[in-house]
Amino acid sequence: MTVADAIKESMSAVIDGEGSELDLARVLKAVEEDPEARAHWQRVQQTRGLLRTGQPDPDIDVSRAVRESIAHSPRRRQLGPLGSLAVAASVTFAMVLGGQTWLGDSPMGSAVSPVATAVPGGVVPIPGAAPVQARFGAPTQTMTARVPLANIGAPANAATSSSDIYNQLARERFERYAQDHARSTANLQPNALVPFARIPEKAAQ
Amino acid sequence: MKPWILACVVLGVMTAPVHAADNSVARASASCMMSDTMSAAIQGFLMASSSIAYQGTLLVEYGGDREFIAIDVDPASGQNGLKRLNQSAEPLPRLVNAQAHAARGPCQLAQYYALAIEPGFAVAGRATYRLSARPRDTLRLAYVMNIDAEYHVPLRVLAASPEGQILERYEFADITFEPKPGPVDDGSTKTAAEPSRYLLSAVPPGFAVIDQGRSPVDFIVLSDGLASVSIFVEAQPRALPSGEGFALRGASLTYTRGMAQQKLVTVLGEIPITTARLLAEAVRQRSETP
Repeated sequence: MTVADAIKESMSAVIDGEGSELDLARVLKAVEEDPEARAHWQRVQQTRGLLRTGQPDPDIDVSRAVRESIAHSPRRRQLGPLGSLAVAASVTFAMVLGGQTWLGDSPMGSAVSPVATAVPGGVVPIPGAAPVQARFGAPTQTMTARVPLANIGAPANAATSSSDIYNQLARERFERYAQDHARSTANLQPNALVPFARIPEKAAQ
Repeated sequence: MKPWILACVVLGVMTAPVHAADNSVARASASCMMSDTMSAAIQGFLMASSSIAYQGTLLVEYGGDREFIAIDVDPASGQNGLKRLNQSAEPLPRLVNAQAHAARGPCQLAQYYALAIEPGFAVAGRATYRLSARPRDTLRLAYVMNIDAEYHVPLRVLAASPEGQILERYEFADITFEPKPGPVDDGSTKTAAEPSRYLLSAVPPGFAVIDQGRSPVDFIVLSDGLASVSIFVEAQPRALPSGEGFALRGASLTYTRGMAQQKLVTVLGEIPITTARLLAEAVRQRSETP
């Protein structure tokens, strides 16, 4: 894609109200420095005006149009190129680190035992135990969120990843085995009836 | 974090995660420093489910979900029936049939939980004491319980993850107690089940195998006296890739791990995912072991 095409795309995005800070900056710079870009911007404005009102707009001031675009855009935090890069890098780092912390290595695909990778400091006894700061939090994976499994035997793809399949399997296995687990362990739990209360109604029938 | 602290933590992680299965119970014989009052209270709590029957209305909350459950009891057998009051009009009772197990003692529990007792507020119109059981590691959940001062039945229980996230809360709105009748001979005697074709190469500290069998699939059941977990092993269905997944229902975690062309292990219990991973990793076919 040429630079001119990129500028044209930015102009369309700004006029459609979908432009980013970068699009705006690119359009402003182009119409100031490049007469062809300015002329193209005028033509786009005229075309959009014609489509919108049915009448050609005879007097379009490019600077005014851009200023209005900025004025009517939602106020956004101004980030320079370095700032945008920093945000992108932070998000990438967080995703990589978070994913590694939660999932550990692939449980079957690595020779490293998950004992050493997925239990960071978790099994060192703590005399007296730290106090628990209780809070409600939405579990990341609950019984209510169901993922359709169209073809469980198909190779994993972007739409149905391996983790989606196994999360669905975990939900199905809960419904299948919760009754057995409750029967076997209820008398060892704080309240012997609650394990049966956790069983979904359809699984209990 | 200073390097030497980090080194200690890493060393602890690498050496302490699992004990050989044979050693897990041996440590329980160590004596513990516990007052007679606390010991009696905890003993009463541990024995309550086998010594007293009750009926009433229970409110259960799992994060955003909540439901009321009516609990009935058959006076002849002492068997409980549950009616889910928010599922349908005129719900039918579902009978509860739980296996009996020998409860562990207060000292065994105190090895893996920091136990504390203090006066509690009234629940369902009854006086309670508050028993908190906070895990000494991250392999089990924390419990804060308001326990009936007379019958030692937990009337209000809050279960939380080792990080402090509340997973489940349940509380009686009303409750009445009656003595539990002796065991009724229904003509069926539990025969010794055929042992599972799988075993665990290691068991997390404090847990011990309390049951195993082959129906509906090969299974192993473990408990540390408060936390319980069942492991189910079956053939890997169809051509699944290796992977893992989980689901939560209140304090119950279901963790499923599959190995391509081999077995599918499901760990279901009131445990953190760390413990579930350890257990799934430890499953071996009997022929795999020397």
